[in-house]
Amino acid sequence: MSGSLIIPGDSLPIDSRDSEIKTTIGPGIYKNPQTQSIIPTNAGVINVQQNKAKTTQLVYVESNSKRYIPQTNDFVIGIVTGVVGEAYKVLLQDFSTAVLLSMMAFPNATKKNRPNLKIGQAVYARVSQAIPEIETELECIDPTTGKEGGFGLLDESGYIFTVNLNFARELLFNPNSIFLEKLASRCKFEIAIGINGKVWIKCGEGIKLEKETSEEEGKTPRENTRDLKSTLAAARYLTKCQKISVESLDQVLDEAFKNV
Amino acid sequence: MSKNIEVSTNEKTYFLEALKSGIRLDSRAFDEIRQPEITLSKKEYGYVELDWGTTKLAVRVSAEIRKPYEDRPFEGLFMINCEISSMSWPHFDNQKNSNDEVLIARIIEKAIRRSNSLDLESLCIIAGEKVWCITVDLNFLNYDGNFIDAGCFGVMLALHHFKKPDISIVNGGEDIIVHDVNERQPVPLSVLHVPVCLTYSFYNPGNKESNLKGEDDDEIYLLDANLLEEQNREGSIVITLNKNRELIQLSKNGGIPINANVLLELSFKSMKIVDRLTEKIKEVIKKHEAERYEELNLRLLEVGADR
Amino acid sequence: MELYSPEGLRLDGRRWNEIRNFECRINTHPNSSDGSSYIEQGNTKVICMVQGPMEPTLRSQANANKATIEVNLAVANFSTLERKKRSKSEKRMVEMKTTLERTFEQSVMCNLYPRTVIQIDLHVLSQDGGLLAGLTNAITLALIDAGVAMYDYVAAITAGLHDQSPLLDLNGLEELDMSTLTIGVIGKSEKLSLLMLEDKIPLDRLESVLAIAIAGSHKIRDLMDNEVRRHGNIRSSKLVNN
Repeated sequence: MSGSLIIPGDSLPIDSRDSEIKTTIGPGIYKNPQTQSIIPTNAGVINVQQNKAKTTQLVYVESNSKRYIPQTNDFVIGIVTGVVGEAYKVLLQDFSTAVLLSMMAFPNATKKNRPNLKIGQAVYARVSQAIPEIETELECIDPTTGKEGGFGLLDESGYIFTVNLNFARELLFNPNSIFLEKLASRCKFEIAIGINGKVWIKCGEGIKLEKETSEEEGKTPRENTRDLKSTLAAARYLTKCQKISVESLDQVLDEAFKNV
Repeated sequence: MSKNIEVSTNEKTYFLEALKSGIRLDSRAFDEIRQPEITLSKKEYGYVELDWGTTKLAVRVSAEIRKPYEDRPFEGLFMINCEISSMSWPHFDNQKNSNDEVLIARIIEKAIRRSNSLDLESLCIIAGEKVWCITVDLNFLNYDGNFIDAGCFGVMLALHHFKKPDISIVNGGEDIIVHDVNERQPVPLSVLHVPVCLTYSFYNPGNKESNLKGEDDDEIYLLDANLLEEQNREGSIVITLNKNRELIQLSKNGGIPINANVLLELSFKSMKIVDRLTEKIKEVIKKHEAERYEELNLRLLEVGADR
Repeated sequence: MELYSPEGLRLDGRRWNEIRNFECRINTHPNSSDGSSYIEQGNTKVICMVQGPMEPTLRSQANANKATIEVNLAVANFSTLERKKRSKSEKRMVEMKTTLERTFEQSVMCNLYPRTVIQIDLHVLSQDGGLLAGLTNAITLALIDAGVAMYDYVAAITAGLHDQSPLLDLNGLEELDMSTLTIGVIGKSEKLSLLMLEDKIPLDRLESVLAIAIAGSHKIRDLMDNEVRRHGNIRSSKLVNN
């Protein structure tokens, strides 16, 4: 049942009116409010997951699209493009409408103690409100603890690039994904994946921002460029991973890291 | 909606740091162009699709019979139509022509039309009465930097690929018969030389003032910039050359100044790439011709000698 | 018609490395603009007026980091022998306008005037070759008159190639028959801020053409500098007298 192709107009391979099983629907599935029947709305691979007792099931369609539509609780990477009043304007994707990130949506932020983000900087944030009719809002607080929780500014020592939306989901949600494991065999890296298709990555130290400090530490410029090169190589590798079969993975990895 | 891309500081710093260490983000050398991938139409004459990295374009050549301009009765007409729509990149507006679009179209036109790369007199049928009018429609499908180089290459390729139907003049010049391509072999255009545009982008990692005063010369020159590189560049120059070592067109529309020596150096260095691209056009067309003849079960006639 | 005689004389009696009569005036329209100039390069005559730096009329023109430069180019109907109406949207005009805007964006210290616009109005009264060069020189002078901070002069001139010999500062007739290179040079350096070549020249001849063009633009720079200093002296003497 799971893993087969489904196209809008097909009927779902499940009986939604079966009252025995409680159905939860995910992306790509639409429930008609009048008839209560569910239909697929995106073309993709259908996924049906039932629990062992067969009392609940989860249905969604795994598909790929270019446009990212914010959903509440998505973890995203955005670029700060401006300030309006007490909020930052953040862009989640090129050529899209900017979303808002309130200056108060940071841990310990007050009217006086504001975060200091500059235009062009990147943040890792959670979509706190996504209602189509009003502006989408982000926040940089972990709602359960009220602390930072890994959100906030992504510093300039890492590189940012874009990938397909379904590849970002694959990296983020598939526990069996081998792409990052393969990469880990080559270099040490830190990564942040936004579900909006932006990836922030840093191998080793990434790039040193202040030249003076790197000289003081006695690091030679060559060592510095090695981290830079491997970060770029990792980015190239991940970009290529979107289009290749699993067999040629090693070859692509070798190619990307050729000059490092 | 924002009509322009936002380049994050992360990308910018990485890009500049990498440049300083002599690396480009896509691991090309500074003077390396992206490999063009060519699709020639097998069914028609004069339709070419070109993938220049991820910059993509389609070129269509068409011919019709018209009356020549009165002041030039012996010359055919040749037009290049440059269509840049928001399909290729939302930044390019559908309605009005932005300055960038005009510059791109102008430079391609200067490189190909003004330099007489097409022999206009060979397009004459009856002097003052009827001539061929060759129209090239250049459609950009996807933008990832460097429309000019890709566009110029694509147009030259399409001109080589195109063939106009054969004609015969009857009744002592009163009438002309246009023969169907299936009836008689169509005739290729007579292309006099192949201009190749090369765009160099400049970056100045140092101080702007000392750069202008000419105190330090540590600018970096990149050939064939992609979108990210074009967004961050501080100046650019388009050099158009052909393989006869002729400089056809030079255009530097502002941007940071460059040293005269650098200009000479870049032009001489470009010759190698010009030779290679010209060779590539010839090679691809030759191969394509051979395939087509084979398909038509015809003997391969010497190209160019038949007219 | 002989463009370059064996004795080394051109149509108008110049030698190969001589520029045409170059006249310039600064502050020609003191009441109607913030900076103005008038130049004659042979029979090419241009008036330039600069307004600003001032607040932009459209908010979209304001750039938070630097000044926006806007060039308006008007070519008079009577500027050529044949009277002809010219539209501003002609591709050649748009190209020239954009080239000038982008050139001066670099040589003006735009970062000193954020959120402003510098409007440059050009009027071409008469054309006889070297239009782009004339426009560049006129803008340089007008910007100096307007007191806009610049790194250095931008002096421009044309040069062409006749057979083997390079010729400096072509007039209209010569421009028709020769390939013309227009260059703009920053001050007394060899830095080219503007370059435009529209017809074929052999690559190996480029160096010699560039060399005389650079020498020519240094000459133009000196002539412009003389005029600026002359005008400056008149002004300062008035200050002393008061």
